[in-house]
Parts: sequence; structure tokens; C-alpha cells
Amino acid sequence: MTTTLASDLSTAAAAAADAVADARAREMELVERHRRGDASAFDEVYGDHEAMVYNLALSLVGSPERAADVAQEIFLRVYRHLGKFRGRSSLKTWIYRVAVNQCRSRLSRRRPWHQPLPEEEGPQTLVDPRRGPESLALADDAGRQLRRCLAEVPEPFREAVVLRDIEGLAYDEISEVLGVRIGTVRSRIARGRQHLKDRFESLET
Amino acid sequence: MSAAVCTLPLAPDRLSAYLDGELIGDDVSRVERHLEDCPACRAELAGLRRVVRQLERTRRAAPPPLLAEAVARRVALEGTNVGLLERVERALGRVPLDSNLFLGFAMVLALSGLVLAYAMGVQGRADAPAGSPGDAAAGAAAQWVAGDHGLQVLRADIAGRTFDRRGSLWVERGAGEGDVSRRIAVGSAAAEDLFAASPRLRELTVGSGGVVLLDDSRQAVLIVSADAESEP
Repeated sequence: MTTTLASDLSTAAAAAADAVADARAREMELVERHRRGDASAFDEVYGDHEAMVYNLALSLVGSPERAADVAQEIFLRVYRHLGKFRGRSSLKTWIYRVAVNQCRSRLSRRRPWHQPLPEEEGPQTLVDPRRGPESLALADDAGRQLRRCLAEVPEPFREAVVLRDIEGLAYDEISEVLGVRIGTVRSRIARGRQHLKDRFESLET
Repeated sequence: MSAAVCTLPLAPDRLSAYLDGELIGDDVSRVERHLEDCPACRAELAGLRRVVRQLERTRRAAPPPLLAEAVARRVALEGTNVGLLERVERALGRVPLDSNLFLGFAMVLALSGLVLAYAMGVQGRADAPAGSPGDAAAGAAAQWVAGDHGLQVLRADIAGRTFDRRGSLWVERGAGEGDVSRRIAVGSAAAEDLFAASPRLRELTVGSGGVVLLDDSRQAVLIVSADAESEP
């Protein structure tokens, strides 16, 4: 029985390692095709990561409109720098890193050019003009409340919590994305969760 | 929730890491032993677990349908320049760079460009009335033309496309009023990206005001400055 279990675990581990190796090989093939000017390579990268990037941006910058703007900028940077990707991390981790940096840049950048216009003046963003604004926000009130609470969490802690609890990254992946030690990741996740816990409790009282 | 107070509470990051299965070895058993005897820390852990479950249940939002199209447009702008440069480089690659033929061709090209630029400059200066503001910066392609509103209207011809100034805006001839799909402000990183891809667009943003133009995909891009007047 023990031998069978050990054998099964060993087989599963080998299969997992093969899957990772296959995924990395595919990623490097996409990068090589992109370097050679094959436009469909970036299309594949985009398709694989569109939802991930948009949702990360939405969690970090707070509004669908800003998330769509930032997502554009993120993919433009991915397009420009994809040829330099060396495979030291997974492509997903690399794109997460680009995305987090772009969200930070967006949040910290002064935007004196922003001309706020009333909603009635027509579409200003990539929003499909046939949809109402409600359909682009989260579909339920609890989700919107959660994002509002998230927006109140200080940025370094918010990033860590989003990457862990919404995006599902492991601590070592988050450490790579954020460029900090795992101990720092642990601390930021804990503090982010504490902020949210305190906020949720204050809303309940 | 228990109102008990823990006299030696677990460090928040240890509790959080325990929740994530990121503690190892003896640390796990130490935390578990503490939790067995501490209702306050068990309550704290339960609170953290609720937060994590709320976040994990966050509905994934579908990206807006126009996002892919917008990215494709911006990538195409990059690709136009990159593709052209690559094609030129590849073509030049077939010609030995130290050949007399290549050098001769390069010199003819450079001279032609200088002559053309000079001719455009002379023409522009001949047409522009004295003292027209923005002339020097807008270059020879700009002309002052009396407009319908009795105002001086600046007409700019850039790369075969004609733009008329109306109030604080530049409008390309043929652009529809409702064609604004995106705003990018002068001075922003997005505008810089656009100018890098199409350097001559920068000529239309001299002074205050903006430009509405149609790019190859027939989508209008509006560029306004921080102190631009509101649209007429």
C-alpha cells in the first residue's frame, strides 16, 4: 500500500514537472515567434492573459474605466518587451510584474490633464456605449462593497492581498512579482487582511 | 465572537501564513497548540478566514469588449513603425553596407529629404501672414486660413491629412462628431506613446487645444491639454 502511494505521488510529481516544462517551452516558443515578427504570437499571449490583467487592474486601481485604460498600457508594454523575456520566471509572473508596476505608476502619477466630464457627455473610454455603466461594475453589491474596502487598504498591502487571495498566487510567486522577500510578502498579506477584517467589522456594527 | 483576550497573541503574519499553509515544521505545531487553548486567537483566525473567503469569491469581471480592439489598435501603431523599420533593415541587409552603391543611395536619399524639407519651409513661410501665432512651431505645413466663424483658423496639412482648427480643437476633415472613443491628454505617457509612433502628430498640439483625428482604423483619438477650453 505504502509503495503504491509513494509511486503514485512520484508519478504525479513527475507529471506536474512535465506540465510545467511543457508550459515553459510553449512560452519560449511564443516569445521566439514574437521576436521573428509573428503577430499571432502576441495575440495568443493577449488571449491567455486578458482576463487576468484586467481583473488585477480592476482590483488595484478600483474602477472599470481606469482598469481598462491601465490594461491597455500593460499590454502595450508586454508587446514592447516580450522579445526580451528570458524565461527566468513564468510568463504569467512576468506579466503580473508588468501589470503591478503599471498600476502603481497609474496610481502615483499626477494627472493634470484629466478632464472630468459628466457621464452624460458620452463615452470617454473603451466602454461599449450600448451598455449602461451598471453592467460594467461588479454584478453584486457585496462585490462593489468589497472593492471599495480594498481601495482603502494601503497600496503595498492591497497588492499582496489581491495577488494572494484574488489571483491565487503562492508566496514565492508574489515575492517574484513584487520583488520583495517572502517575509515581506507574509507581513503585507497579514496587514492587508487585517485592514479588511477591521473594515468589514466596522461595516457590520 | 469571543471577547477573550490572548495574553500572548500569535503574530498576525504567523496566523495569516498558517491560514495559507505557508508555515513549516515546528511552527505549525506551535501555532496549533496555541490555538487549542486560545479562543481569542481562534476568533482572530476565523475572522481572517472570512476575509479570505470573501476575496476568493470575488466574481471575475469580464474585460470590456472594446479592450481587445483598443490594444490591437495601439499595437498596430507600434507595429507600423517597427514593421517598416524591419522591412527597411531587411532590404538594406541584402546590400553590403560598405558598398559604393549603398553609400550613393543613402546620399541621394538624404539630399532629397533636405531639398523637400527646405521647399516645404519656403512654401509655408510664403503663405503665412506676418505675426501668425504658432507658425514657427507648427512648421511649414501650417497655414492660416480665414474661417467660417470670422476667426482665424489654422489649417494644418500633415502627412496628406488636413486638420482645421475650431476653437480649442483640431478636427480632421471627414471626422464625425461622435467618433471620440478615447481621450489622451498632451503631456501624458499615452500621448507620448502616440507621438513616438506618429511624430508629426506632435505638430498639431502646439499651444493649447487638441486634435481630433482619424487613425487607420477610423477611430478618433482626441488629445487635449490640461488647460484646453471645453469643446465648442
